[in-house]
Amino acid sequence: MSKEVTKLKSAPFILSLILILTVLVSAVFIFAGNAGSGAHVTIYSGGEAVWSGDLSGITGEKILTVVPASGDAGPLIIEGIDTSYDHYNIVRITSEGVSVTDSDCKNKICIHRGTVRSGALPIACLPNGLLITVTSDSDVQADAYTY
Amino acid sequence: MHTHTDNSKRTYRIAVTGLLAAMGLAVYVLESALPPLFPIPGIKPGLSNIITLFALKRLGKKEAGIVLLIRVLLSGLLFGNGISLIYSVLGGLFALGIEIVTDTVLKGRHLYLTGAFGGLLHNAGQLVAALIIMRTAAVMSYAPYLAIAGIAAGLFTGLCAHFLLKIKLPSAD
Repeated sequence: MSKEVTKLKSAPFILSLILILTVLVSAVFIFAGNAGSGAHVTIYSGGEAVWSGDLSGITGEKILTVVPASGDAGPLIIEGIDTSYDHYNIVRITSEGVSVTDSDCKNKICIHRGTVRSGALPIACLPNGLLITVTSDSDVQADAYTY
Repeated sequence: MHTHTDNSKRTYRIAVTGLLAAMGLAVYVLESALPPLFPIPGIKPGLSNIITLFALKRLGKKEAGIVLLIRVLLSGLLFGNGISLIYSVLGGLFALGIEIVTDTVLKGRHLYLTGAFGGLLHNAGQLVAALIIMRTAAVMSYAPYLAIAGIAAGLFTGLCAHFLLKIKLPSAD
């Protein structure tokens, strides 16, 4: 066998190759994973969860009108835009993230929040009791790790 | 028959083993004082691996295992809890195991490769521990980060051990 071929089959070369492949495959997973994050959106109205879904499951865009509870009626979730109610938030969900596009509230903080796709700070519209959280879809979320 | 030299060699080995175990513990304490570089649990320099590799090459598999065990038990008892102990034990055992195998395959050369595999398997062991403790497959999302970080840290510690081994310790006699 020629010297070049024996060198290629040598243990250090093969082991180095394994390590390099591991790094490359991991990098692929990292980039692919961040693209379609699988984030889980939950919309709360007045403390009650009225809608939830995964960002990755959304094709195109989903528009929801969230109407807070008033009097005897509970909160309403309406597909599409419906501004006939006194108080409302229009929520837009795409695979990119979730945002509030319109609202009757005075300050429009919920709209200025922009599009959210990860969980650190939820979107809130306090006058309407609206809260939209984005969490990663693990069942158990540890607060801290110890080693 | 035990000769005088055998006994003093044995004593030497026991002494160095104990010394390395203490050093391993000190390195562990030092490392836990460092602020985390990345917001991902489990990513750290892994400096303890330097001690493990040194023990493996200088003394042998058995002594390296003892050094590891002492370090893991003492650090767990002194600074940790039952949970951290599981992480340390699995990480350490996986790392030492693969390092013994890799070192044999590489005929003692290329210690940086041995270290890299050790780092990789150390994190794999910790991932297994996380799977057992958290009981959710969601921890696997950390796997790619841990793989890369483990290899990088292992490469570094392997190199450190390589240069450390070039230093001649005073001999037994």
